[in-house]
Amino acid sequence: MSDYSTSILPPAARLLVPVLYAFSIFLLLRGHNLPGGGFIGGLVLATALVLRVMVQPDKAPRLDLIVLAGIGLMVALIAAAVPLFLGQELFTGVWGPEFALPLVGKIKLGTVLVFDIGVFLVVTGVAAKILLVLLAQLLSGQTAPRRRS
Amino acid sequence: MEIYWVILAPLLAALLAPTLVRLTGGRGTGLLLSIVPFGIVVFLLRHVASGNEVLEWTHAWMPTLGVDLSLRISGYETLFLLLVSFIGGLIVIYAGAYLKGHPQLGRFYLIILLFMASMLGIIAADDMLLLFVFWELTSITSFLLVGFKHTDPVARKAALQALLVTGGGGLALLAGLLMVMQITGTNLISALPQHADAMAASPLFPAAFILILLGAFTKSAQVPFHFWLPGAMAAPTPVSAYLHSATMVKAGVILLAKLWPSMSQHELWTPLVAPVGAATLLTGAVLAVLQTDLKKLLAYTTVSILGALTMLLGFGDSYALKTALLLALSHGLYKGSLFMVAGTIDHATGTRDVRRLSGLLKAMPLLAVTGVLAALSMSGVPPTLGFISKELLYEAQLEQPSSGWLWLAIGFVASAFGVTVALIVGVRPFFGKPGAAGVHHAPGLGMVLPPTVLAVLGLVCGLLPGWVDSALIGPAAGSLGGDASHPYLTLWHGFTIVLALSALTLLAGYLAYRGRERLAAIPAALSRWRWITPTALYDTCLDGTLNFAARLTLVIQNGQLRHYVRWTLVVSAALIIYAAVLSSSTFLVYQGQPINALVLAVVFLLCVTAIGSVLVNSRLTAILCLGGVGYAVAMLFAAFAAPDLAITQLLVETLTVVLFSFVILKLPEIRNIRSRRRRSADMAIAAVAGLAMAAMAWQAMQFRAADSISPGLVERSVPEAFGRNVVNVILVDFRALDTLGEILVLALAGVGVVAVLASRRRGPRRLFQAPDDSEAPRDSRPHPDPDELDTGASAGADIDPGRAITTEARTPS
Repeated sequence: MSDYSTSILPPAARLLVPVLYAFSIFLLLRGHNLPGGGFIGGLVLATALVLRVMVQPDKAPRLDLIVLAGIGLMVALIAAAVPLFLGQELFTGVWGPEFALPLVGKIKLGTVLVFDIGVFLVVTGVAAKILLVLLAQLLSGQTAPRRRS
Repeated sequence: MEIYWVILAPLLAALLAPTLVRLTGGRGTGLLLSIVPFGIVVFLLRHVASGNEVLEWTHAWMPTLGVDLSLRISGYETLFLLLVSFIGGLIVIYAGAYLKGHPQLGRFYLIILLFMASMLGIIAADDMLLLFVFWELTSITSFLLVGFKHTDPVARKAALQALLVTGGGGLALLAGLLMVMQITGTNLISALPQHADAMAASPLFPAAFILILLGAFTKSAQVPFHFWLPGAMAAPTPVSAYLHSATMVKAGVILLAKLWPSMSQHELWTPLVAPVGAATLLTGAVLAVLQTDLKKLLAYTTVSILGALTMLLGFGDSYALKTALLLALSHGLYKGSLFMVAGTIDHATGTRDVRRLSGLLKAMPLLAVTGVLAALSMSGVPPTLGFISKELLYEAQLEQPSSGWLWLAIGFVASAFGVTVALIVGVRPFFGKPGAAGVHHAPGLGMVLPPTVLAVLGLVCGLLPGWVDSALIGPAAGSLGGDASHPYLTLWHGFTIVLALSALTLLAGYLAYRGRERLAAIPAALSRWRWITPTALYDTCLDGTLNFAARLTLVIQNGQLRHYVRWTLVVSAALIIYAAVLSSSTFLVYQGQPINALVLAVVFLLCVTAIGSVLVNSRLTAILCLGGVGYAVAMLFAAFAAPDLAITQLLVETLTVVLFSFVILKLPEIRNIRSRRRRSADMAIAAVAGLAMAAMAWQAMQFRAADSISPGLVERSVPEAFGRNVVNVILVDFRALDTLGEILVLALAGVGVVAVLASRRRGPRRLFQAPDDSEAPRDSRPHPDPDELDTGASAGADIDPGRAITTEARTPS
């Protein structure tokens, strides 16, 4: 049913998609110190999601991606609002402990990281949603062409 | 209790209301929610009983702008807060019965309680900007309430009309308030009287004053902006009873009264305010008696009374001020009651046409008593409160130093017509033989008791004028700088000319009532003058704006991607050439980073792929070439040490390729444009736009007015934000507010794109057209000339739903 069921793409996607998932989170977490961050990580994750649906059209994400974008906005807003409850100005960074992760390096926990996660979710949700809606229209258009009597 | 609870409590109740309705199924929710407004009433009454001293509360809101959350409750605010919260409590109960079983009852409570909070906010606000915020909130909630029956096109149109008129006035008000703040240097309304001299001396003040008046007049439906109020009767009756008789429409008057202490002695006050009020008083009354719809009758008399209030405040003397305050109270009581009576009649019989309603006394005896009682107060029959306020109105008009008799004549005609309307609405439906419309079902207590309470209160207050005076009206007038004890409120003023006038008013009103059949024939006779009415002018303006927008859209965005690109390029190139090239005199030599062989190679690749994308004949090759351009740009970013930018560019290019892979199958083949002229024109546009862009990038090197902020940000990145990637630190920490705005826009754009894509399935629908027109023939769309159709590039990638369908329709069936 999908035109992407070639002999190269599905096996490659099966290998690539989990790697891309991990890579997107890797990019998100290292972003504060090295190239990366929520925006870039989100684009990678969106690519991975679309790639997965391209080769397995029935495996669409269960959560509506626009809702994911909404959740991302909420997360970012909450991160921005946390300092208000500590008597600081909106958007002030509230910092926690620092610890090291393998591959990623040192990470300092804090509201700034949470804010970046919000950005990550919004970018993922919007980019993947638009592409998947287009993909769904393309697929449905191919399987059942509309005819007028 | 801090006084901010007066606003916060209904706000919290509003947020809880939908959940509450879901839990209880709507049963008794109104009663439960009415605890909040009645709680405020109790608080205010205890405050009145304990001496009525001024309450103030301030909290810094935007200290850098000097804007505070300042609330102030003095005698005047107490009076209106009491009126709004008490009627609000009754309305909440009434609405529970009126909208029983309505699927959107929760939403209704949410909005009406939000409205209540913002209305209380207007009254209690002392900071002018805070007042403006509440003012706009009432406009928005009113829009939602008028359009509550959102499937009804009439209701939607009325809602939009109310929003445009009051919202437009709101903008004028903001400008006026800002100018007053500029002149006086204070935000606080209570501090304005100290600056009366500064205002009198300022050349800016007349403009500021007129702008403020525009805001007040649109909100309070003064001539010529009165037309939105009768239109707003499309709202459910509880809304009309609350917003459009007792509260929101009084906001303009409330504002005028708040400004009365500081501005009423200005030379412009009386000439600008009083005549408008008098014109509204007369217009509303005359238009009222021509109506046959219960709610329209009441709406136009409300316009009339709003005119009277404006006129009284406009007189600028203390006697008229106190009269206005009393009139506002008595009008709120009887008009709220009559609106609810009309709603109950409508609910029980299914009609509001007065010609079909009569003899309802037997079916609804208590409602009949209520209607008659409220009508008595509206007519000014002793011993109701309405009688006292009408006596004072005549007296205040007579006391005017100039043209007192003219004012009085206007007041007399309007009051007589008021009597006529009171008879038509409050008395006529209940007596005589049972009319054409029968009672389907007897109304429940929840729809009868609230209006009864208000009507009875109008009588009780009339019987206790001394208490009303000393507890409410006197302190209110006193707190506005008027004379608290003059005039003394009493039922008996002795045998005066005013008493005779009151009796004459009743007689004239009754005679007009007898002749109402002949009055009702007038509108038809005047129908050829309809185009000159404000409603028609409003419609003409609105239609003209929408048509202009639609035409402009058809010119600029005619559904062809090529066309969009052409406009975008031409306009941006023109702006760039104007701003960056023509306005700068010197051209610089290259000052950027050193250029090495790698950069040259990348630039070469960039040029080759760019030229290739134009020359090739296959769409797939063109897309690959464009991808090459994108990757080359990414390499340039990397070469100039901007890895984050490069990664982002690479990812966007990758996603674009994925996107193309989805749509490419749907796109027709590229075909060349035959017209030579068109091709050279496109080439010229492309060349000029490209050169302009290059020139701007080149000139950007010299546009550096201030020192770069990047070294500072780089320095602060690690110590302040614990991050070594300064790009990311700027995005998520230093400039997090910008990023928040960006992701918000991104999410909204996503919703928009998804909505447009989904709407393709539903078929063509043009902007600015009623849904029932969607079957209009597609050929009415202006077709581009066949030459342009050849490219067909817009069919798949373009998001214009109409055109996509048109192309599909052409496929063989």
